[in-house]
Amino acid sequence: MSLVSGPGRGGTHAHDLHQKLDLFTDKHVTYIKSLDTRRNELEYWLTEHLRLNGVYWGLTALHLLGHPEALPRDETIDFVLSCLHENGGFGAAPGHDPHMLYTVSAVQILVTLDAIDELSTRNKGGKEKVGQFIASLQDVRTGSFCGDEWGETDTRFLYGALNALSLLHLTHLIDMEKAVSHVASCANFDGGYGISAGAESHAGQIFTCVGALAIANRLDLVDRNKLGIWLSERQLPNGGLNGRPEKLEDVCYSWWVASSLAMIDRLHWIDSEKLAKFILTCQDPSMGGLADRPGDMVDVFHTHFGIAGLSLLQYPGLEEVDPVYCMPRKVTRRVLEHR
Amino acid sequence: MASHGVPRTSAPTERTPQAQAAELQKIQEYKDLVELVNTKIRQREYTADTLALISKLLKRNPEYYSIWNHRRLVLQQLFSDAQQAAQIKQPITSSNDTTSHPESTPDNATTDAAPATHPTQYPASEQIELLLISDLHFLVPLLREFPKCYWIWNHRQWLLQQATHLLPVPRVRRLWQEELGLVAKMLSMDSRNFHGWGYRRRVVAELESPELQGTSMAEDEFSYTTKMIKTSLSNFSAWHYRSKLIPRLLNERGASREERRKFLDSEFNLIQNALWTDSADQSLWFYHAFLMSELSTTPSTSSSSSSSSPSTSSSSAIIPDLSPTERVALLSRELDNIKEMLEDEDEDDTDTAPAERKYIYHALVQSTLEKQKWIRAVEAHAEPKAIADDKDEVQSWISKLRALDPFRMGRWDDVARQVDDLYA
Ligand SMILES: [Zn+2]
Repeated sequence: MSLVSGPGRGGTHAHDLHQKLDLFTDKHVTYIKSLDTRRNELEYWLTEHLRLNGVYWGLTALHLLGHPEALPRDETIDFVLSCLHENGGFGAAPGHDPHMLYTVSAVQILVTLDAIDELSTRNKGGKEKVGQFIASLQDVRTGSFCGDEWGETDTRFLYGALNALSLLHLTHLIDMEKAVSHVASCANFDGGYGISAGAESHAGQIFTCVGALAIANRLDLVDRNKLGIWLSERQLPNGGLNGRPEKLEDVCYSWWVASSLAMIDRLHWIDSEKLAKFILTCQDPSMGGLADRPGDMVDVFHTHFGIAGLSLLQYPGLEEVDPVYCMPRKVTRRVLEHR
Repeated sequence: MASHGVPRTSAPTERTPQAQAAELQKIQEYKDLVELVNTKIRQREYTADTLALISKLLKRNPEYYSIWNHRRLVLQQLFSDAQQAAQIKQPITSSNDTTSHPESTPDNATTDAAPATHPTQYPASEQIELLLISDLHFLVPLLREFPKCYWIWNHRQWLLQQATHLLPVPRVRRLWQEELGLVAKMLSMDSRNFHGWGYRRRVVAELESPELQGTSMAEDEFSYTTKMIKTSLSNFSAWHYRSKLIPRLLNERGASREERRKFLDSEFNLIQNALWTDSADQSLWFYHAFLMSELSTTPSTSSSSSSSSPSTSSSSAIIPDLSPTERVALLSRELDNIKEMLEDEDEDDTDTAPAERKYIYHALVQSTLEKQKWIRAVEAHAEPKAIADDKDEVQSWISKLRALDPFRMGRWDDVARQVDDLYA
């Protein structure tokens, strides 16, 4: 799986904008399948630090597109396990250091492939070892989570920890109450959340904080109207969403903003049709893939979040996505009874 | 999770055979460098030479997080080498408490590091300081080129933390102080960079800490937000920071109730003037809503004002003990101010963007609903006629909102329902 941008360029010609746009499912499947064949590009090597995230993005997009078999299952599992370290953490690629971000992607991939048992059968220490790595990164004083042993904290890591541990049924390994109160301490006057206490609201961070509260079953702490107002103001005249006031629209915020609105039952506060249309204009109709905005090069990150956004908006022909986990609903239903 | 700024190069299909050969050559060079660095680390060659190779690699690819970890391993070794050379038997990152370090309190040196004497300690910390400063310098051009790369900001923070652990307090303070200059420069280049703002808060917290014998910088930081807002009104990051500083500022001033009232009025003045300049700017409206929410904490929450639940963001930070009557009066005053803006907007309808009028109507609806809640709290039997008149007005504003901003129709539907419930 590669994070190399291109080869296609998102965006259909201006005259197409008024026509009905389709989702080019087959093109996107071909695009994602072709990503790992680009080792003759320098960028393939320069983006190795995102490889495992890339597999999660590609695999999830393929599931949502209704092509779950498009990536070879065994090879994918082999690659994921080749990133596992002794301590239960996963790196971005073989030889890269263990970190929360890749450990979460690894768990999401294995769960999606129904392959968590491979951790036991291949004598990799079982899922408990992975759970212990994640739990070891909680700061017992504040409830927040570090990304790795070097100590950076970020609400992204807290969300990742709750996401992965709940998928593994291992949330008892952490202090959930403290984690929740840390999230609460990151709330701002606009109803949003930041990267840490005191930090400005940011749609990506709001997704992680609201998602964490959803997993902890503590959405009662969210000021839904206030947050809903702030989030719905992210929609710009072209239908796209931005991540903060006075910023440009970007396809990936289709996910962070819209999924947060969905979690607080306010998705109807934006114009879904206009948003879907914006996402569709970011496709490359000939070579597949989506870009952050029309005219830019496509990449698998925006391809994934664009498709997940469309799924959330119930675009026809797509599998349903779970707004909390950003995984196919079929998968989270299989693993988590209450979903 | 997320990463942005994936470089957008030209597609391989557009390349000539020569260009492809050159690309393969570059790939080989890059992979060789990665392999060389990884081998050195595997063999625990934590030396200055390895550090130089790591620098070369990170300049090519600052997103390669494992290499930043390698860099820290090497630096830790170099610090410890410096200490050993100076014969200080002290673990590198053992303690947060700089005051117990012999360098910072020479009087304690005999108890803390018995075999060492002052003249031999200073060379170690000087050498460590040189290493730290040279690493801080290494990062500056990288930050300029990649201002949104998390790992560079992290590493910078780690270096400064090492300084706190390893150097005498006055020198540590100077280093952190210089960071304030750097971050101001970064924010003048991109006044919304949230890494920059986050780092600024981190630096300030450190400079304020007792470990560095610091005192509160809330006043200075508050002035900084004023300066940034004056440079650009739509700097939501600055407005946000302001909202976070206000409660501390007033507490530290020991502000009386009267002073708090004055403070609130001056903030309202500031935001009103800003709104007269640009009423289409949503950053301003969010700050306005923040001030209004200071007046409109819902009656139910304020009745249990004794509780200090960390999750309730609804308790007023500026004036904690506003009475319901005061709230109604202030809300009415602000409502009048907003209405005045509307009259102005209506006069020259031709150059008024729908967005401006939308924000005004929205503020009117929200504020009226809050006022109504408080009127009900003041008088159990509010005069029915006054309430009914109000209702018609609010409903007319909501129809304006529907017309001006059809994207958010679902939101206006929900507000209309709220109105119906309130006046039911
Ligand atoms: Zn994006």
